[in-house]
Parts: sequence; structure tokens; C-alpha cells
Amino acid sequence: MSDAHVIVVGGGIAGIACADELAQAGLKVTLIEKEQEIGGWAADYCCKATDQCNRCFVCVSDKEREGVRATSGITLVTGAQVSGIEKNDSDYAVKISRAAGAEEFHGDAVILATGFTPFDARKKGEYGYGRYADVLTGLDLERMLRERGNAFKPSNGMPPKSVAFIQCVGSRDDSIGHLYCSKACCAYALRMARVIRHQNPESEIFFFYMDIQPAGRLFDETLKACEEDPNFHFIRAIPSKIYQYTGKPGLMMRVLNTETGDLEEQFFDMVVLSIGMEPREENAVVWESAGLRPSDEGFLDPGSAEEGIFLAGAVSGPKDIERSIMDARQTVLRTLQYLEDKS
Amino acid sequence: MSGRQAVLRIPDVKPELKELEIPREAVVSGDHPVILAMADGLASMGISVTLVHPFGEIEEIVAPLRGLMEADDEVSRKYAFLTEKVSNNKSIKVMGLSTLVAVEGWWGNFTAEILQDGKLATVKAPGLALAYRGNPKVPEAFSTDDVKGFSEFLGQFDFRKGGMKKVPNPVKRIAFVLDVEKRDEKWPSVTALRFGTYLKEFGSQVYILCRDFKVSVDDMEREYRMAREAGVMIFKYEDLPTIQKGGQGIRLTFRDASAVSREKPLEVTLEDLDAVVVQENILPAEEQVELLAQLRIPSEGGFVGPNNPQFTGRTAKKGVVVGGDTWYPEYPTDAMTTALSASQELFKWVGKGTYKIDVERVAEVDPSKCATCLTCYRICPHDSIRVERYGERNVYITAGAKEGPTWEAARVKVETCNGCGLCASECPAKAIQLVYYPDMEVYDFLEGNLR
Repeated sequence: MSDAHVIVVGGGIAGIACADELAQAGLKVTLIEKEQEIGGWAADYCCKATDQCNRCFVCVSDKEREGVRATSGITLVTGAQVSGIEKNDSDYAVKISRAAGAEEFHGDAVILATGFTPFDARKKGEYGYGRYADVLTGLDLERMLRERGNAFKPSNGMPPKSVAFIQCVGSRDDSIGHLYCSKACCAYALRMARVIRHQNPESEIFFFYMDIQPAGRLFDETLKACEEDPNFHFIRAIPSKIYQYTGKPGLMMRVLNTETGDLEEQFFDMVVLSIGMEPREENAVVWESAGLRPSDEGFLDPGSAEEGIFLAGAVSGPKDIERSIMDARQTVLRTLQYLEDKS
Repeated sequence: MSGRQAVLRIPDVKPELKELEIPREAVVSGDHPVILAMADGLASMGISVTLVHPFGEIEEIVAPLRGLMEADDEVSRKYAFLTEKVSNNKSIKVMGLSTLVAVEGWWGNFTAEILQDGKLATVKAPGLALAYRGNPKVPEAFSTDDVKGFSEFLGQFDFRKGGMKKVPNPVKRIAFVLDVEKRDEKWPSVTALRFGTYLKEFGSQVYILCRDFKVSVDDMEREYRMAREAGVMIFKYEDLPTIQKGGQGIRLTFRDASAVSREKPLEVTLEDLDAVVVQENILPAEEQVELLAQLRIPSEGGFVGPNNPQFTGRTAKKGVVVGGDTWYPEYPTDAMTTALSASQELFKWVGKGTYKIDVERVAEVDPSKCATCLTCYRICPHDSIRVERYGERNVYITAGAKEGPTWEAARVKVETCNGCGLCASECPAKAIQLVYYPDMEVYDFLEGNLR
């Protein structure tokens, strides 16, 4: 088994964790990534520490990525788009195309860790994403905090005073066919909201949600800290629309006054849309060759994978960083068991 | 040593480490159903497993899940056949009616003291997996005779006996109350929804009361909708419901939080309930707390994970993994993922059958500077530092010592040091530095540890 060769498709956190585990078990690994750099979406996320670590796991992903780069036994193939998988007996050929031309990689097993696509907030036109400069997605805010270090209004570069977070944008929403929870958004939104509060004590957060989804042990503490903060307002209702008045600054929303029960017009400096995860469109097309079917949610159904093909991470459904790593490890165990049985 | 930098870079003397042989063995201990998955996962990779559990029969290990298995095919699919697989696997040595009472050692050489039939047996293994069930405790606000906890309630059902169909007085009106004290556990939402939907098929009226319904589990949003369509009523509350005897059974009263106004709250009263099932607080098993303390594995509130970025899905101690409630209370299908992930982690330590140091540099104490203040001993997350008598005579005198000057100093166990540098940065006497292995002396440590 130790001379076996496994091809991991996708260089996000799940693929990286798989490659790392397999290499540590002494196997040869080829890690195929379509971008020029491995790291996936998590490479864009920010550390969400305030005056203490808030356990967002982004540093873990950064560390794993550096670890994989430094590991011999892992061949990185970047800038490569997979066009199909072919199975001949127990040999799997993964076909890719990249700038240098088409190539084929052969392995004894394949792990698909192709992840997700962040929900395109433009599909919810009522929120005016792309039209209003100060309407951001969660991913935009992650990048802003990672690259620039602090939150500011894109329209004028000033720190925002009143910030609204709208949860479940593209999740739990049957009108766009997404009848699932993306599992990561409550945690990242609450943590980033705390970062904004920490950076600017005068700022005020309005958190519009349906149900708060916990993320791991000690999440109660994060939640309590937010609830006890007088400038942090939880409103169990999702606003329907963002609009602007000509000549007036600020983003308007009709929001629920939880005391009186009335709808009131309120203006915000900045609105963050907590976008969730979508299945990759190319999944359906590319993986047909591997016999994979979509699940009810449109992600790939792990039960449908052919022998020797395994799924890891968010390709089979939304997962946060920690769950992606855990899922990758159990996938590696299954892969090793498969290779052991075969040898 | 000159200079005060924490890391001495002497790459020239970085040795090529040879590997030493260790047996491919592991001890799996606990009473949580996932121990079966852990034992099976390791055994299928050729690891010899000693499975220590407190029950008379292996079948009893999955007993707590029997009620759920009836309502949830996935739980059934993932757990039902494991008993048989474990019983038939020759590389698993099953020790029933046994308790792991003490454990010590480091990766490569753990010594487990196992109590079976009043006799103590000693088992040595290079790796260790622990998965215990927590103790469910009904929160005080609900500790009346009318109320049952989830585990007590589900314990009434047993799929092998036909479950609901055989229960003489099926519950007609039942309320599940979630998020009573702990709001960061997902298992109660999943359990209440799946079991509630199952009860609904038998004509029960099912109410679920929660602060936030947890849908961040695979397929839950879809099932949440299907359950509501089937007539399972789900309410959100902000202040805890009050419980009274009322009508022909129990009465629950609460303010519906999804009513839009706090000034004009919507009071909801559920009457004639014949069962109220509340989310228990899961307290860590005493055995688990004791073993973690013996191994000096840091835990918060007695649970090891999740949510520790430093040790994603693992413990601070090399060669020890945990699952079940020792990790954190999870729904059985999630717990299975965690357990398999832990098995893979343990396989990494014991699978190759070789022992090798995998860090480049380790901490080293200069005993003549050490003040024996125990700072490093306390903060070392890897349990790698002990205070011993060695090296040059240490001039410091312990207050109150009767036998003259003592000469103890902190000493780092090279083979378990992760080179994290916490001790070096915290040492008030600046007696600790990170160094590359100075010479081949490290093999003495290695072999010494395996002996």
C-alpha cells in the first residue's frame, strides 16, 4: 500500500488536509488545483481575533497550506482544470487541461475535494449588491479585514458606525432552490461583527437572522458576549430590501422594531450579506464521468461515488474549516482502507 | 550558551533521524457507541486493538442508540452492523466488564491499567483512543417528576422489540424543550425533529420548543420543512417555558418569540401534554475527567474539543485521540465522523510501526539557571516537562525542605516536545532555549521511552 499513489482534486482546505494526511502515511500524492495557488477560499479569510482568539480556524488553514507546500511526496499541479476521470481496472486517470496543454495523471484512488462556490449575492437583486458600494458580502468583508486590517465603507473609506448583517443570503431559501443551511455563516458573521465592534467602540451592529447556528464548543460564550453588548442588536427577521434616496447618504431598510412590533425605516452605513455556499456548477458536468450524482441539495452525493473515488469537504455539502478537516481525515481513513483491501 | 534568543539555529548538527520499531497496537476504551467505529477503523488497517468496555455483551454498547435507530435510518445504517464486525474481527481483543483505571506514558509507550473481574491487568500500547458517554442531567428548572430527559425518554424505545408499535400507551401529546441551558449543541434539535417526525407517524401531536432551531446538520433544513408540513409544531421562546400540572396532563406556558412585538407578546399554552422531554446538560463522565487529568490533556469543562485551533480534531498529547462525548456531545452521525477522523489521526501515530521524532527543534533547560518555579511544567500543552534530579547540582533551595538543599531542575522529554516554544518564552529565569538536537544522544531518549 505504501507505494500507492492518490490523486486529490482541489487544493482548498479539505484537499490540503487530505494530501497532508496521505503524505504522512507515506503515500505519493498529486494535488490538482485549478487556481495558480493552493489554499482555496480559506486563504482569503481573515483572523477574527479581538483581544483574544475567537476560534475561527483560519490560522489552521494557513498553517496546513504552508505545511503541504513544504512536504516532499506531494506533487502540486496548479492552474489545472480537470476535464474528466477514467477508470481502467484499478487505475484512475484524471485528465486535466492547463496552459501547457492537456495532461493525464494516474493514481490508485481519487479524492474529490472541489469544494463550493460562494453564493452570488447578485442573484438576490433586492439587496442591491454590485449597485450600492457599501453593500458587501461576508467574503468581501473577510478580504477587507485580511488585506487592509480594518473595516471601512468602500464609498468613502470611513469606518462604518451602523452595520447591518443579513444572515442566510442564499441559504435556507427555497425561492432560489437552496433548501439548506450553509453552516458557517452565523459563526463568521458574529465573529466579524465582534471585530468591527472591537475596532470601533462607537459602532453599532444590527444582526438580522432566523436561527443562530452554533459552531463548536464555547460558541455560547461568543453568543453571550454579543448579547450582552448594548451596541449589538439581534433581530429575528430578514429584511426584504435595501434602497437609497437620491441625494441622501446611507442605505435604507425597513426593519422590525422588536419592542413595538412595527416596521420602521432605518438607515445603515454598511450592510454585510452573509452569503452561504453553493454547489459548483462544473461539478455536475465533470463528475458524471465518475458516476457521481448530485444530492437533493445539489452537492455531490457521497453514496453515489464509484469504488476508489472519495469525496472530502464541502463538495458533499456545506462545511466550515474544522468540519472540512475532520471530513478530510475520515475520507483518508476510508481511502487507506480501500487501498489496504486491494493490496 | 551565549545570546538570549529563544531559538539557536545550528542547522549543521541537525541529525538524520533513524526510525525505531514500535508495535502496531492501540487501546480503545470507553462506553460510547463510537468506540466500535474506532476499533473497527483501526483494526481494518491492521492495528491490533484492545477494546476496553464496561458491558457484559458487545451489543450493549449500541443500546443507547436503539431508540434513535428506529427513527433514523442513517444512525441505524452507520451503527447497526458494527457490533458484528467488531465481534468477528480477530485483531480486536475485546475486554468486557472492564474499566481503564489508570494510564500513563507517552506516544510510543502507554501503560494502561485495566480492572476486569476485580483483577488488574496491564496492557502496553503505543496509542490510545478514548470515547466516553457523558452523564445527562436534567436542568434544575425542569427537574420534576413529569419531565424526562432525552436519554431516559429514548431509552424506552428499542427497535429490536418493535419500538413504538409495542409501547402500550403511545404518547399522544408530547413537547420537546431544547436550549434550556446550553445553546451550542446541535444534537437535541436533530433528535427532537427526527424522533418527533417518527412519533407523528403514529398519530402523536408533537411540539418542539427552542431558542434557535439548529439546521446546520446535513439535510436538516429539508427535514425541518417536511416535519412542519407533516404537522410537527415548532416554537421559539426567549424566556424559559413554565411547567405546571394542567388539564389532563402537563401544561407548558411560554411567550412565542417569533411574535413580532415585545409590548404585545403572544402567550402560548400547551395543555394536556402526556410527555415533556427536555434537553439535558451533558456532564463529562468522571472516568473521562480522571483519565484526561492523568494524561494531562487540557480540556475545558471536561471536554477536549471541538474548537481548539491549536489542536484541530486532536488532543494536545501525541498518540492519544478522543471521540464520543469525550470530544463533545454530538448527534450520532456527526460523532461517527469525529470518531473516524480520530481513528485516522491515531493510525498516523501507530500505523507505520515506527517511531520517529517529527520536530526539528526541541526545548532544552539549562539546569544551572532553572529556579524550579514549575511555570514550564504548568504551561506545557504537551505534557513534556518534568522536574527531575539531574545535571549539575542546582543551588536553589526549596522553602520548607527538611533535608537541606534540593537540586531539582525542569527537564524536557525530547521525544514528546513539539518545539512550540511556549516554555522558552515564559521561563522567568530564561533557562529554556529551543535547540536542534545537539547529537545522537536523542536515541537514548527514544529507546529509553520505548523500553
